[in-house]
Amino acid sequence: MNSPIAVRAIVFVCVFNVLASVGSAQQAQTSPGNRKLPRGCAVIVKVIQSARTPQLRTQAIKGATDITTGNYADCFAQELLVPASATHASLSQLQKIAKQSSNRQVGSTNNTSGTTSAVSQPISLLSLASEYGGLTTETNNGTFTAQTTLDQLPSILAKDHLIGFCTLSSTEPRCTSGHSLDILHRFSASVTFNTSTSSKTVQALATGVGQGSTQQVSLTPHGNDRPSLSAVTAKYVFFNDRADASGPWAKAVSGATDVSQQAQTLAAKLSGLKEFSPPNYYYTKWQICVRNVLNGAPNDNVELVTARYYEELYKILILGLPFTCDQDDTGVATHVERDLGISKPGSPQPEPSLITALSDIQSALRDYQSAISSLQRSIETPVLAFQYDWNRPQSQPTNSTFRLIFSKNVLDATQENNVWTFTGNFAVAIYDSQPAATIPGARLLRDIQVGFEADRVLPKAPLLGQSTLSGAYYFQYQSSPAILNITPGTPISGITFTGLPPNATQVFAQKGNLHLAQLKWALGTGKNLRFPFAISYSNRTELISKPEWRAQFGVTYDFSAFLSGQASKGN
Amino acid sequence: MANGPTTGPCKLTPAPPNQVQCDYLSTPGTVNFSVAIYSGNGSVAFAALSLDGHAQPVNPPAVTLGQGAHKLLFVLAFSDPGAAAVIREACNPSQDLALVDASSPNETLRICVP
Repeated sequence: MNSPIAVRAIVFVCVFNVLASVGSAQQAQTSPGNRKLPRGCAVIVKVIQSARTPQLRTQAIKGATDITTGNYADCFAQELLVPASATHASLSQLQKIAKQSSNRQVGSTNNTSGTTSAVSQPISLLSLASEYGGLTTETNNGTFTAQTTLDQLPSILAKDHLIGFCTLSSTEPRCTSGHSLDILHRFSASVTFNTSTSSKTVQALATGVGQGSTQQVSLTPHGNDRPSLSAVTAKYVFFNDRADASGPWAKAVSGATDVSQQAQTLAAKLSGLKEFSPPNYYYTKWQICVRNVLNGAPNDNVELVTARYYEELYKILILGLPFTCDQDDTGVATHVERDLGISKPGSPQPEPSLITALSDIQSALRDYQSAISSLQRSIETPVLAFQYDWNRPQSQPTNSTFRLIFSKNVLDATQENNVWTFTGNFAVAIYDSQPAATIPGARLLRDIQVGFEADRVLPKAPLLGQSTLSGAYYFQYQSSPAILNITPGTPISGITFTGLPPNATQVFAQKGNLHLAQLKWALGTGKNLRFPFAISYSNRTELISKPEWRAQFGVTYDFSAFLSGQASKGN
Repeated sequence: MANGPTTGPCKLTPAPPNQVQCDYLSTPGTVNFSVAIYSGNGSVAFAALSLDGHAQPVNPPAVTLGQGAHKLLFVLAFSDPGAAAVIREACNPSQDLALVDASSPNETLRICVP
């Protein structure tokens, strides 16, 4: 078992590295001129070009030429921080200049929302994922299942800043993007352990002489000390639905504490960006000049103008150099001096404090976008998925199940609440090795399964909150009889054999078709903690060819809500 | 679409393009906002709203403006990372104020109340 897990881990790391590399390979865009337009500035061009009314276009240009509002922080940070030519200072030099400045912005970083972090957990990566989300744990009917999607670990690492999170406009050399995480989110894996049936037995050997009806024995444990692995599952989602209608999305945003906290942190950092005091003469000239040029430029020239003028910001704000407008410089200077009352300075006016402020905003922006990215993935509902199960039922031959899963949510008339969920399964199970030829009717194909389930969200009830009522039907065609492996001298827990030959190593049951109906009521709909109760009837089981009633209950906890910061409350 | 109340006349008027201190001019009082998808798919909602550095309620998104120059800051939450949204003044008829792209989800408006 260790090898497959190791291989899967290596595959995961490779996939992640490839995805991260793809993200980092997308560098700055080339503008029509010689200069490369920083990646973060592409959004400025996009917004100006997409404006469909003169007022929106004018406002887009205003917003794009006002560095102290914090709009387009990526663009301005890249213009000021990333060397565009050999004459630019390095980031560390610029930050040193900024730190030496007496008017630099200083603020505590209070954007870490969790009280535990990835590195503080002295346990395995799987448990680490469990701590943050990603893990949905389930104890139900004597099993313990831990499952996660593959995006959870990099999401946690990005949240803790152990790896960078990047967007289309960021330029970090190695980072994980929302798109990469979307791809990883389609893959999931789970491990199930048996907890109700011990894999350990005790043998008693009589010692000494019996006295009447009593006998001293020596007890020796046999078997495995570790939990018994019951199944390993891998899943891939082909198609997702996004439950992002306006109402549910607004609810999800307001209910996601992590998103709210990061948004407030970002707002605080943006608000901390101070106006230049005294007003920066050459920067104001730049603003008026660029606004004039952009307002007069057709959409096709917006990128060219942006590439031409935005690189001037480094010279104006970091080097403190004068700025000359290509068009009507005298008129622009007159407007700045006469109409706005800003005098031409006698000495350079660098604004080094801007660097730290923009760096802080970029960091807060990354954290916010990472939180939004998690929330975006959390509202995805799989429509069609493929699942592979490697089953190791106790005392039975191992088998593999290949399953197609279809699921569809149905919203109410307001498109704000999920009312029905329909799920369908089709699966084929095979034994991992050819069954013994001495078992009549046994072959590699173990069974074929078909199942349907309809879930109806019930209205909220006092004390109980929202709950879900489900009805399910399951059919299993048994191609081969169920087989039990036995070890002579070691009984199978819960089964008593009578008249079994001493050299028998396998027993098999009578095969037949299995019909099962289940009615389930689950408390805690929309919450992280859920309590499902179920009652089922089947015409037989795999082993016993008689009708059977059963009751099941469980507790499930969805840790992924920790990652997306969603509050545990019903919809 | 995340909405504020839509009744009442609009308070904001665009400032002249060459005025660097103000994007919009307003009369004193409460201004309501809404946001809607402008291009792309999905939905958008207000995640944070701040007036002169002070957090404001986002449900409903509204601010009360007194005389002076104000910086009004919006942080939006997009369900689709490729979408763009338009921030509107929720009034009758509503007016478009600013475009916001999902890759740069914050927008600051300078509003001056003479």
